[in-house]
Amino acid sequence: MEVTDKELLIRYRRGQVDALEALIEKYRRPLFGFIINMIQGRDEADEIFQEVWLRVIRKHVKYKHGNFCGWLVRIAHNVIIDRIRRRKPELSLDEEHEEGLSLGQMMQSNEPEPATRMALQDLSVRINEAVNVLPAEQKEVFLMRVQAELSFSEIARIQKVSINTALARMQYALGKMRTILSKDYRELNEKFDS
Amino acid sequence: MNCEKIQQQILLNQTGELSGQEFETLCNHLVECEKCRKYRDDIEKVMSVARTSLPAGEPGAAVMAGILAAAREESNRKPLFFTPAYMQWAACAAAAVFIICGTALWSFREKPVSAASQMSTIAMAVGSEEVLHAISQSGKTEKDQELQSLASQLLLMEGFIVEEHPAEIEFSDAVDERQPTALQLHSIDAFELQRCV
Repeated sequence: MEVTDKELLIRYRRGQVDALEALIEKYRRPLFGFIINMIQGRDEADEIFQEVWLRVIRKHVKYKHGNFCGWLVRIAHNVIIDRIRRRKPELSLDEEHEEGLSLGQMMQSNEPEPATRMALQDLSVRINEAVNVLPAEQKEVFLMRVQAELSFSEIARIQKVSINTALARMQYALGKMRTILSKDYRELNEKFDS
Repeated sequence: MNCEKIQQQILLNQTGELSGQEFETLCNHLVECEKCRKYRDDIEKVMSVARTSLPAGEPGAAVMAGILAAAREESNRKPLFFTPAYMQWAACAAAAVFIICGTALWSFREKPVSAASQMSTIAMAVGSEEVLHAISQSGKTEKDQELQSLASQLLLMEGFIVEEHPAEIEFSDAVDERQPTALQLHSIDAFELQRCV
């Protein structure tokens, strides 16, 4: 029988560090995937990933029940916002600054690397680019849904908005991606059908 | 139901957040609406491709080692029993025990005997129903003066002699039925008194 996340956490509370290691291993990919797509910088993603787990170690008693991955993503969301505020105090994730870009967008590298430029023909790269031009709040909803596979009620709780707002953000994100990727639809359909 | 609402329900259906009735409405709408069917197919493709195409990556080995080292250090640093949550529960349990014990002690304490109760005891001891009735009436007000007056009448009637200053008569906290000595009185046998007269 599979051990639940809560059981693993209880074991860690009793001093079994390997139980925490099992939790880290279980959620390594979805959590790191969410972070690296939000941040777009390998070193910073590593730092945030580490910070998330250090907060889990310090505040594991605060986890009561529910989706553990949702709790991790919530912590990651808070860490990312803290970092943005530390750099630019009193700014929000979506507020527009230089050249109409939000802070979330400013955190990403605007100039694609030469290797990336060469690979622009690749569908996955175009999808990646399509995600990166989304406003930060919409992008976050999209990544929470696609990478961390959270429900909309969990996403709404993390972003502290109503479920309708979370759904609307996802709809906008998908709508923009459909538009951006409309030229690639034939390729997309072929990839899907194959 | 309009298509915009249905498109939200398509998203909620992916996460299993639709009720049975909403699911049925969605299915009925999709049978009839080609636009919404296309939307559903499109977003499923976009999300499926995004899931596999977006950079996943993995944290560096040094990051993982750092996290586990911190976990071990935290685990060794303090006994896990004394985490804040346990402390809170212990404090709540101690407070609950204190309240329960306090309530129990309060309810089982020795209650002070009222003046009316003392007088009833005396009246019963001397067997005067008339005085008992008077006490039950005056006992509602708990006025010691009235009770002392009644006590004097009772004692005189039944052959007791009350001291010269009945106002100074004090009721003790506990009265023994057999010894109504709290009313500093001298007992004279009524039969003897009647005989003297």
